[in-house]
Amino acid sequence: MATVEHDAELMLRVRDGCSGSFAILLERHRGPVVHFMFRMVQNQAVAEELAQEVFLRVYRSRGSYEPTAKFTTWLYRIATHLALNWLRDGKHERGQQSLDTGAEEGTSARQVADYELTVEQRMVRDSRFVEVRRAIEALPGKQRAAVMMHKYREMEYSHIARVLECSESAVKSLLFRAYQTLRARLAHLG
Amino acid sequence: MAEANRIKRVRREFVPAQCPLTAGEQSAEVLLDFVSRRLEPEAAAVFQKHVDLCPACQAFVGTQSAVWQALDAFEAMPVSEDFDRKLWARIEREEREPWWKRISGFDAIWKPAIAVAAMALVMLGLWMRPAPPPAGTASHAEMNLDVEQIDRTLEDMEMLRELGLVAEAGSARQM
Ligand SMILES: [Zn+2]
Repeated sequence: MATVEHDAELMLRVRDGCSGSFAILLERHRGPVVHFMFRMVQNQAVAEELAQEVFLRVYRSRGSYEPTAKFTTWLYRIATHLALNWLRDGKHERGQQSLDTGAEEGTSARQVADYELTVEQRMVRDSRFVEVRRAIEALPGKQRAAVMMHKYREMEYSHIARVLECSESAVKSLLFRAYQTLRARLAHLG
Repeated sequence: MAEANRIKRVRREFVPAQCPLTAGEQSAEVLLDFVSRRLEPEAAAVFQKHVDLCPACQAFVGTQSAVWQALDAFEAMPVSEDFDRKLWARIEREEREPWWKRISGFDAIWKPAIAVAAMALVMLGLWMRPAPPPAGTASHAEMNLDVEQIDRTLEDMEMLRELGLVAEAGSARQM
């Protein structure tokens, strides 16, 4: 049976010059990181560009890598940092644009199953999708990042805390406030 | 997924008599974990008994479950097929760059420094320039010197402009 190598072991090999190990890490984390970015910035092109920057930074700092923390902690710390910077620097100019483009992007992502739905069902689904995105967009960056890691990456509070470099109780507080906002905006969809 | 499996083994302490909603937001994590099915079956059963008797928790669980389901609608897009190719191209391009270009923040430090140095050179040139000779006495050799000086200045300016462009391209790539 093939042994699944730990991320940290692979990263140590990348440090020693093995680009094949970097390819494995990329294969393993490419999708999750791009998806995390997409949900954070709500624009596929920007999400991929930022995800490229994440992996580029990982590769760039391979020489100084020490497995003191979980690889994914490090990875998502870089990702969150880049996403929050992007949101902080350009939210007002790009916000609406990303939402509009993104709505189309999101619907096209599910075209495969479209034939199974009536026009009405498709419209309901799409408006639901836009509503969810708007609700997420209304969250402050750090709350948004916490929800993305909690809901879609199923991370533990302690892991999210290490990524966001804050206490576990601060994470619980972020999540509590974020879900409170989302409940106010989305509970009617249930 | 390993992360998800581990979460489900996390033990939760829950006092059935105490409503987590009245014990502050830190205690409300049991409600979030209950809805996201992160409680061990044993803990979930104990908490379910409380929910059955507590209208406030029932309301919370109802709305939080609705949100949890609604968030499932936020599907992510598939990653572009050329994602890896683009990344490897960026890595190769970066590795071909001289070491000093690879230092993070190089542009930020040196670009203003180059601009300041250029300004200082221009000022020094103006200060050291000999006083103009009286009108009508300029020799042929002196005329040539002036032309050479202008040429050199233009070359210097061109070089500085190129350095600036290289620096800009570098910082654009870092975006
Ligand atoms: Zn209760």
